[in-house]
Amino acid sequence: MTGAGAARAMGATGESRTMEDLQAIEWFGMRLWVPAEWEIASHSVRSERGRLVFVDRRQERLQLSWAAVRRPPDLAQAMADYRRRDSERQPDSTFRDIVVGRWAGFRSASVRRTLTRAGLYDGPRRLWVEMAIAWPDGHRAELERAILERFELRQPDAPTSRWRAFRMDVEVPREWTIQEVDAKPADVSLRFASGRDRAIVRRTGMLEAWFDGNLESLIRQSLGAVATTCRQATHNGHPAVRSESRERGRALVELFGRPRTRSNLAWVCPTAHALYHVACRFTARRPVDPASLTVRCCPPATARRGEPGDGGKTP
Amino acid sequence: MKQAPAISAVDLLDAVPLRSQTVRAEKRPDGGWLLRVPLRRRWYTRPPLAWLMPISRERAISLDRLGSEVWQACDGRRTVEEIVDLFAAAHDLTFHEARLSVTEFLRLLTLRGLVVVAGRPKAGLPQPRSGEAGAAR
Repeated sequence: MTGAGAARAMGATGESRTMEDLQAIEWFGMRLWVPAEWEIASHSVRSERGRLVFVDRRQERLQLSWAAVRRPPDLAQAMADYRRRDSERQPDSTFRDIVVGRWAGFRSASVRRTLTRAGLYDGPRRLWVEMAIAWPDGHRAELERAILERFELRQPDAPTSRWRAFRMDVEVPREWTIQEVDAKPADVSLRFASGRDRAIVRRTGMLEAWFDGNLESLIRQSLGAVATTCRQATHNGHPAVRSESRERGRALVELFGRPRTRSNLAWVCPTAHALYHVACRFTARRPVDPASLTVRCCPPATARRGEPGDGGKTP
Repeated sequence: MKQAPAISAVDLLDAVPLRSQTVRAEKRPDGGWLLRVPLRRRWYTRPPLAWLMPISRERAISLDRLGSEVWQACDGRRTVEEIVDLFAAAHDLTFHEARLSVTEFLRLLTLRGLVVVAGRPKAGLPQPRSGEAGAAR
């Protein structure tokens, strides 16, 4: 049974859901645990303000929103505003205050819906975070507590930032900022930038439908006419192909010695049943090794030495 | 003209797709299916015009292996949600990834008259006869 299937089966028994059914999501230094069958329906890639919306099979279940603020917001006032608004919409609502870990908020219950709203302010990051969880099938206290309690914020000075969502798990040096997340069915790519350097991490599934097993040809195809040198390698314990190629720049670029170089790394993870492709584009003065972007493809339990558990770096 | 009410995504999950019984299906050696759908007979498809112009009376639609999986799963018993589950499990996709692919494909099949999407069958409604759909004739 798939993770989602297991979660669904457990969902039928209500409070018997255990932590094994939760998946970790990391986004802009926030880590939260949500049921495995909740998927991201909407996302933002702005660090100053944004939100993540999770849905189950039928409806929206959780909304996590964040905003960078200059001074600590008045949490009590914010929650009072929400409470007033909710009671206007649902006059039969009853409210109950909740405090879980750093979260403070309330739970509103009416005939039509039960909703948990909570907020927290993180001083070091000057970040205001709000969470709203909908309970269409009845409130589940244990799950509510687990989601709120297990929420974590990374320190702003952490050397790396980690992105775990859409079945991707990528850890990049802090200077790499996310530019775009493109999530299509069985084809997810995360784009990062650091100055003029660019990196794309892509995960493509449904291999039997389109992939002939030739990684080298796949890389060459993605590079077009650029002359490329490919070599066999190993990544996360899986056979991989690495390539280096130098883009032919315009005359001035060539003259001043700042042509761009492309470096690619691709491998197939049989456990994840997906193809991973890390493509970096950088100036020759500051080379970027695709393996410096840690991409975890399969769980540590199935990994051999040198695999995701220890960072997935190329041996 | 009165428009049919739009089907919500949730309703669609509960709907049951059923293969059209007028479609002739032939299995291809590569695992896909070739479907032949009879075209509606118009005045210009009848003699004497039909004697002068070669007008096909059916349209052929070729399904690849993935499309064939969905086509075969439309047995009149499974709901869209169950088909999505099957597809997701077969290809290691999440539910929503599979849902996007399957529902879009079902929409195309419906537009081409290959599939009819009905509401969830209640007890007592007639079930399709076994072997009447999907088998090559």
